[in-house]
Amino acid sequence: MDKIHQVFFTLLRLGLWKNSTESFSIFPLKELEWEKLFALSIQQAVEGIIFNSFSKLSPNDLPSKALLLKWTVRVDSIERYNQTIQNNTKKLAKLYNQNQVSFFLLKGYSLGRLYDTPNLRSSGDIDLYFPKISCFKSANQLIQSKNILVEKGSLKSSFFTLNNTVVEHHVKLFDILNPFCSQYLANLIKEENKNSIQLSIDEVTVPTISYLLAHIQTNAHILKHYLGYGIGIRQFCDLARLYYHSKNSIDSNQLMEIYKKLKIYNWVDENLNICLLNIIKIQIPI
Amino acid sequence: MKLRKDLILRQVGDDFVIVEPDQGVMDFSKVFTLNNSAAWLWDKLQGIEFEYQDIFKLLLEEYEVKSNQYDSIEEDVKQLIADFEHYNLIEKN
Repeated sequence: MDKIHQVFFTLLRLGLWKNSTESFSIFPLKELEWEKLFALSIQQAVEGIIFNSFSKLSPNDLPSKALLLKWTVRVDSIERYNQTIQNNTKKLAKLYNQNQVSFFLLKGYSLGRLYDTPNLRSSGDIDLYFPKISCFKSANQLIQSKNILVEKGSLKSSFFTLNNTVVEHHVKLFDILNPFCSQYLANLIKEENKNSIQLSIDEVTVPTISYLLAHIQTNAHILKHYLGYGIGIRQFCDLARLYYHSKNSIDSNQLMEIYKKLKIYNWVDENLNICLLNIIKIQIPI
Repeated sequence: MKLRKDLILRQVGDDFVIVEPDQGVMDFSKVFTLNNSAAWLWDKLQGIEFEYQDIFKLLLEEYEVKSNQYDSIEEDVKQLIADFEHYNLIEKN
């Protein structure tokens, strides 16, 4: 691993874990090296997490003032966007709760809250899952009634833009389309309903899926990215924070059995596990 | 007057920094660096209504100021408020 990547992962761990202990012997970096590291952080959508590590560096090891200010502007923008996401999530949750439309928040804010500094995680869109088709249709109608254009997306999903944020409505929770697994997954979702988590944004209830389902959903989603668009390091960070937060609340044997049934055990065990252990220094609970 | 609540004071290295996102466009953002005293004041004035006299009082309480320095501090406070207003850091009514 070259120097830039070594420093990148050192800073990533420092930004991700409050009590991470790292060697700083590789510092300081030259200006050009910092510029490359900044670009790499943006490419991997972890510039906020890396910024979080700067408070643990000695002043001599920090980037130049000019780059630090550029980085700060970027982080400020991430924080503002996260605030917008949170406000929009709250608005939608309030609307759906008032109209008895049952839904679950996926990914995004529900994973971001697992970070020590949630607002530094780069966010994308808002993903909502509707366990019943009737609720999916009602949600779409409610949005259309506000004169917002709702368009068709992939896998029977729909999407629209709310205050500069893309919102996706899903009827599928997992990126697993194996017809031999569909009934098993449907039963699992039903069974796990009792373990769903009720988040609260300014006293508005926002339900999200159980930790067990979040593990499967996140791992399958990363596999989809791996096979298609490519994986970003931010996705590993999400997974690491999810593992860290839920290690005492999930049954690792049950999770292993589920992965085996879904035929993604080897992917999780041989690929994700090794990446997380080597890069982010966390043990997957399977 | 009141400071804009959407602006966040951050410590970045040895500096205190406020980012003012110009109409949400990152490339046009303005960055203000504050010295230690201004950052301390910014923190103290967060979320409260204040006037010139409140800042003056805060400074007298925090720093050992001799009476012959009052004029100079008055000037500094006036300049600080003028800067806050000029750079749009005060909430608009």
